[in-house]
Amino acid sequence: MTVVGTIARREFYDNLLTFRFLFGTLILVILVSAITLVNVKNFIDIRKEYQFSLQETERNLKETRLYCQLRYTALKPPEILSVLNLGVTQKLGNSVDITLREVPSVAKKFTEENLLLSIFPSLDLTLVYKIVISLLALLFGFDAVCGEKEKGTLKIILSQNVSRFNVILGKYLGRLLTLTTILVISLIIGFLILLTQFASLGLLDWLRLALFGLFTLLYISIFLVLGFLISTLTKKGSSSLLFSLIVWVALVIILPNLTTYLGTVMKPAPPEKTVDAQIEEISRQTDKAIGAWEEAHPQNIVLGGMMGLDEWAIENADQSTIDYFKRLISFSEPLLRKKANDIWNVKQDYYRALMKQEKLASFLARWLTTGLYEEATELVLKTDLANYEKFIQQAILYRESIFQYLQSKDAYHSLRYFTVMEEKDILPFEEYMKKMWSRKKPGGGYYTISDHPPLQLYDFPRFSYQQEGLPDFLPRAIIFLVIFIMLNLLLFVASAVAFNFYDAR
Amino acid sequence: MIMIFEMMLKEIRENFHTVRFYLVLLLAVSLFAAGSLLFVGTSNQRISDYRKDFAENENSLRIASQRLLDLARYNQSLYKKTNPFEFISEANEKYLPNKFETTIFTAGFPELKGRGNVLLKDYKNMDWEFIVAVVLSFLAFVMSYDAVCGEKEQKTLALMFSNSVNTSQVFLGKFLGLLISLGIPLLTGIVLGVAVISLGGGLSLSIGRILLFICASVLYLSLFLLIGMMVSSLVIQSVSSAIILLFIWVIAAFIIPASGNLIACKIYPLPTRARIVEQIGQAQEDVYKTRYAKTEAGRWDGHLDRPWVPLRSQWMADSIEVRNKIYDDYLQRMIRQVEKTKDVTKISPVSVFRSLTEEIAGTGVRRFRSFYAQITRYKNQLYQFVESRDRADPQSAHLLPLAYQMNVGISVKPVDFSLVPKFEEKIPSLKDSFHPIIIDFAILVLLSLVIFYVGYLLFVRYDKR
Repeated sequence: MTVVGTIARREFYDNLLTFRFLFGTLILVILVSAITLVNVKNFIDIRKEYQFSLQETERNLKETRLYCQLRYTALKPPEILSVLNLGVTQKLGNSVDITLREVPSVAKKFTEENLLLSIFPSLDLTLVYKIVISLLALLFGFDAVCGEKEKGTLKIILSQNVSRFNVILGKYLGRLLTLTTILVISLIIGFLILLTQFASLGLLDWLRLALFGLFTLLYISIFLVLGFLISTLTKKGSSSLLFSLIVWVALVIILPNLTTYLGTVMKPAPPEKTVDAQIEEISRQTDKAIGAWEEAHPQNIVLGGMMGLDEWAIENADQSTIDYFKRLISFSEPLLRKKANDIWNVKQDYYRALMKQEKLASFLARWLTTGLYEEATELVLKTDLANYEKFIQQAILYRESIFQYLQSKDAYHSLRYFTVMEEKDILPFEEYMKKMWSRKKPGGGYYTISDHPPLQLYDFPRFSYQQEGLPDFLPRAIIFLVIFIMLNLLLFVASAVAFNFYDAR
Repeated sequence: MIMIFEMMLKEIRENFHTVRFYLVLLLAVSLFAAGSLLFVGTSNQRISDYRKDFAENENSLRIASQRLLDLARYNQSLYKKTNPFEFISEANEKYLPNKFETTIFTAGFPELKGRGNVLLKDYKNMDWEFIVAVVLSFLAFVMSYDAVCGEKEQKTLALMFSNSVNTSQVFLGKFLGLLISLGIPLLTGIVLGVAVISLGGGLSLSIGRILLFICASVLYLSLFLLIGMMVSSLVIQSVSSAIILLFIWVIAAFIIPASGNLIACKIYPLPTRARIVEQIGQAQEDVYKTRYAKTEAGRWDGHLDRPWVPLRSQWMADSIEVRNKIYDDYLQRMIRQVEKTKDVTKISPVSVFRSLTEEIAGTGVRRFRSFYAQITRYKNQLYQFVESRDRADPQSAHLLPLAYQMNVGISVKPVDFSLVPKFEEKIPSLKDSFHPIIIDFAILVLLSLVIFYVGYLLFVRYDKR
């Protein structure tokens, strides 16, 4: 064991003073600090936007005058860890409008941006690590064996009474330690920048950050061992470098692009158009049913305020009109509820088809290790697709809780569902007509809904986003960990075997 | 002159004996073939999608033209056409807005409709631009990183200079040799790509665009070869040269282009769409308050022959004008934000090349600008058409602006559908983007000359022992 230690120590010190170590560290430190700084600044802007949207939502709630007009925006608080990996969540959105008429199916962004900007890819720490550090790792691995052979030092080492396995293990450990030094330096700088803005990170967040570091290390190690493998399969350093670079450009740059592309070609998603057509059809059916009811129940409607098929907001009307609307609502309310559910089902089917495509693409990408690394880091930094889906799930459950709240208030049968009138103010037609024209505001003009006091919604349930806990992500993180370690072992065994047969002369 | 030629031949001959050359050739050829195959495979679907959208809109327009008033009020869905030159540079068009909804009065905000899956990670198509800009530039470094220091390591450099040779001719010969060695995979790939696409059938190939693309690629790859030679003449060990070049490449090809988003939001901020909608509402209210509040323009009882109705029409015309001004301003700013950001990212030659190939293929942001300009022009054209048709009807009230908000104001007679102007996007021609193409070419040439000069100076001073 001491032999391994000696070799590892020698490798470590040898590499510490090399040009590639110094240059690599420099580049990585510059990139990591610049990108983290900018992303943290961006995050602060997004958080401001979030606070603003939150206040807006509360204000809207305070302005609500009728139950059927209830509107609430469920917001997902921005996640500080996302600075390290923006992930899919930044693309998909973080706010859901909750109304009685629609079941949440997709989120939108509360920070809206220029659609044209999507020609620029997003830039985060994971991208830097994915590209730069994997390249660095290969550059540290490519000459491990054949480089020493060229210099003639390999013969000398092997002439001493050391097993070949110990030599390659020592070399691997020494070089991994060098790379770890670079990684740790850049990570510390990144974390420090994070901490200057956010003094408090929870224990769980630290665990996530540690896992992020660990995944990055295992990812680096894969490329280091890959370099070793190529190095043991070639005789000259220059050809080892050539093969390493070609393998790298294929694994990291070309193929990940191709897998997503292939995913879309192999499993085409149904066109959005058909979904739109289905939704239109459902709306048409519902409208028709309600229209038929209205035709069957003719009524001379006299009212102030406005009305639509989905929403009734009556400021003032006579007795018979109010009664009519009570009946209309008890007829149409279940239909509208059904319409919302049907539309959701259609959208859900579409979403599932998209999901299948995504599953295929990420399955393909997983074989390239870059996909694996992206998925694993997205998982621990809470920016993966599952996290987004959980948010939508919570929004749907929250909407159910609003229904329960309304039920507890008996809102559907109350006047306040569709009108600001009180029971005692409702007059028969003749009296209403007499009074209606004399009803003018003191300053002139007619009364509108907003001249009436809003609903008292003190006990209205508020949405609060439930963070995923340890059991939600740890099992999956462990699976990723195992896959990473297995890959490392596999490649290492392969290079150890190849080294065993290596012609050291 | 002969010296240069001989150096060049020597370099090429040597390259032919290396694994490196064949690996590069294999990679380039397979990528061009795969990219072109994927393009051919998907392009029929995209063409038929567009045709469907187009036919749908045309049908609705035909129905609307049974009444002139309906035609005036009809909200058309106008789509971007399928660009047959996307195989040169797709320029992330799949993420760019491809649709406007527009009446003869106003156009809606640009939309991205019916393309792609938001759950997928962003990816770049395997178009020619990607292959050259990212992969071949990388391979250019792979071929040139040891051009000078490698020979020193092998001691052949000292050997060569023991003869009486001209340094500048050696340098130029080496460069040309490398360029031809890399040019062979490039041209083979392109020829194969052209073959695949033309065999795929039904696709138009533009010789001019392809030739321009080849010129741009050769220039761009020479720049990378020159950078490789420059760094190679700067260091002693070829490993150090490789490391420096790879980091230059990573930063130029990934980090700088990806920083565009951050640059745009920080340096060129843009108001949100909600803010613009609010602003339009405010401005329209102001129009009413300042010009029409004291008049009878607000009166309406359903009769067109009232004396105050023309004033109402005037008011509507003003509202439309105000709205369109703010809207146009916003869109121009939106486009300018991206264009300026693109200009900033041009500190990387990869971005210069990318923008150049976009111009050549007629894709990207400039195409969007032209699309928007065409939409505006078409909208005005249709407005004038409706106005002139309306004038021909003596029973009409001739108050077209009223139709902006209400279903009244003009003739309700049918229109001959064949006379109604129809919209079909015209993809920018090479002539349209002549200036930006020249500028981008000039940047690449200038950069190459500077790097060539610096590389040459370094080579002269290089310790050749």
